Amino acid sequence: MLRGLYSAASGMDTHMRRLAVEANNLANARTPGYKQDRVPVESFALLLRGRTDPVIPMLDVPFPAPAQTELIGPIGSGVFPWEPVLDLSQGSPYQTGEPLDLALIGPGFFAVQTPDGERYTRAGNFSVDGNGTLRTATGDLVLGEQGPIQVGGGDLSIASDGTIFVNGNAVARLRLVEFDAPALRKVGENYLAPQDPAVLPRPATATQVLQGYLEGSNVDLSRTMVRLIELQRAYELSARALQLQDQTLGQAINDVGRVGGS
Amino acid sequence: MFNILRIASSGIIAQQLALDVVGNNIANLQTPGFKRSRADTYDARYAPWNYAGTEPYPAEAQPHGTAGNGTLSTVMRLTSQGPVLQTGRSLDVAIQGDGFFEVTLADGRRAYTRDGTFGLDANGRLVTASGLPVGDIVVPPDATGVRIGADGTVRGRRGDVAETVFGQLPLVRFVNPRGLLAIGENLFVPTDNSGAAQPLDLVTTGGERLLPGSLEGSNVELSEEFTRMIQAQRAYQANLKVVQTWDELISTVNSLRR
Repeated sequence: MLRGLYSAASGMDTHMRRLAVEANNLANARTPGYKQDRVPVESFALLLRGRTDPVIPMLDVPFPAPAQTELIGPIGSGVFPWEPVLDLSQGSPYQTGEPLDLALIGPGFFAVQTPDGERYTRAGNFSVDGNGTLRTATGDLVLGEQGPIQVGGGDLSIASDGTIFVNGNAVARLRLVEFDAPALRKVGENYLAPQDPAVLPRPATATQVLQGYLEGSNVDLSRTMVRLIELQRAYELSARALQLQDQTLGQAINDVGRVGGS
Repeated sequence: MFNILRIASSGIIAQQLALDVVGNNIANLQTPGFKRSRADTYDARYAPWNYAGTEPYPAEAQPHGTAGNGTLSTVMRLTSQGPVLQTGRSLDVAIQGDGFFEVTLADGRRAYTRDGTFGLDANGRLVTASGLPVGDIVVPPDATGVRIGADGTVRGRRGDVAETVFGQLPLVRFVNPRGLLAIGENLFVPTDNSGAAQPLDLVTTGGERLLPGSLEGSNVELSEEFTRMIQAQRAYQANLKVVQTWDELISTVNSLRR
């Protein structure tokens, strides 16, 4: 009986965490190159209810089941949210006409030198500093194949393979990378880092640069709104289940076995 | 749990800022030499994703997932060329390409502008629309047909003699004009981000030209600003919905125990 209370509470906790993730997605609905997080929700391991023994985790039951245990069937024990997973799908590029706005088409990333090490980003709203070095919107160095890129103040054009031309002369090439298995985590400032620091990217082969465009966030406003409605109702349902069990429990404790009756 | 409110309000604040920037751009739709700005967001630092009520992760099993903390903004000035508008006024001049006119502020510091609406003050000095001297150019009172040439010279006739040159417009350029700080009245001052002012010589530099009798219009495009305004408004509302949803969840919790 008490287990049911906790199952219901696990539902409430899960949906509150989903709201936190959707809140972050919506806060970044207009962040260039932002990739939305999704929360996979999974039920806790099913437990096998034995008639005499306490519950046994279903996965641990030897087959055939021990003779002395008479199994009735599986029982759920609630739900929990997995760590958010990154949805790396392409966001739609939109035109800005700015020479320092770059969008990526394909699975790759720009490489950026940050104080914490090399990071990767899809946000191509770059700038230059007072020395003419190419930097991200938050001020970190954008890396080319030969390190930081000096573009000066000239007329800038960037080819789809990332080659940078200043006043018509090729000066550098953007370091575009791809990951074999993109197991990445977000670290803020639109940057991503490999989950395993030992994983190194390889040069991009299927990624193109589009100058004068930015990649929009891949947060889908309408789907996110639907999820907000759904998670709110699911939350209320869990709360209702909790209340019902509380009432049943209250009746069992206070009313069952009352002698005489009212 | 209360973090959700902070995340949603970070989105609300970011969209509010985006609307402020759009508002300022639209207000300066007709300002000569105005350069529009754009607010871009980026995601705030992430925290490790851990489960309430569970043991902390052992050091060797760092969580891969991360919990978001909302959004932050940067504002960029976009220094693309504005449209060149013919005015026919002899002391109007537009810059095509890079470059700024150097202006002397009341306290002697230098500031820079793309607004070439010049005129003469009571002493014959060449001044901007707000009365600040441009270079040190004095036009004698008896001069007629005063005009600015395509080479940046201020010239005119005195009596019947041929045109004389009274001075040269001071022109400069910056490595990163986006890094200039706007101080109002169409003026900018240099920062570390812009680099120092470098003299711009029209003869030796390639793409820059002066267009006398013209002004550079504002580079604000109304259709784009409206698009951004609508997007920001909708994103603002979406973040408000998160606040509302959170509020309803919490009110459900608070009514659990009667």
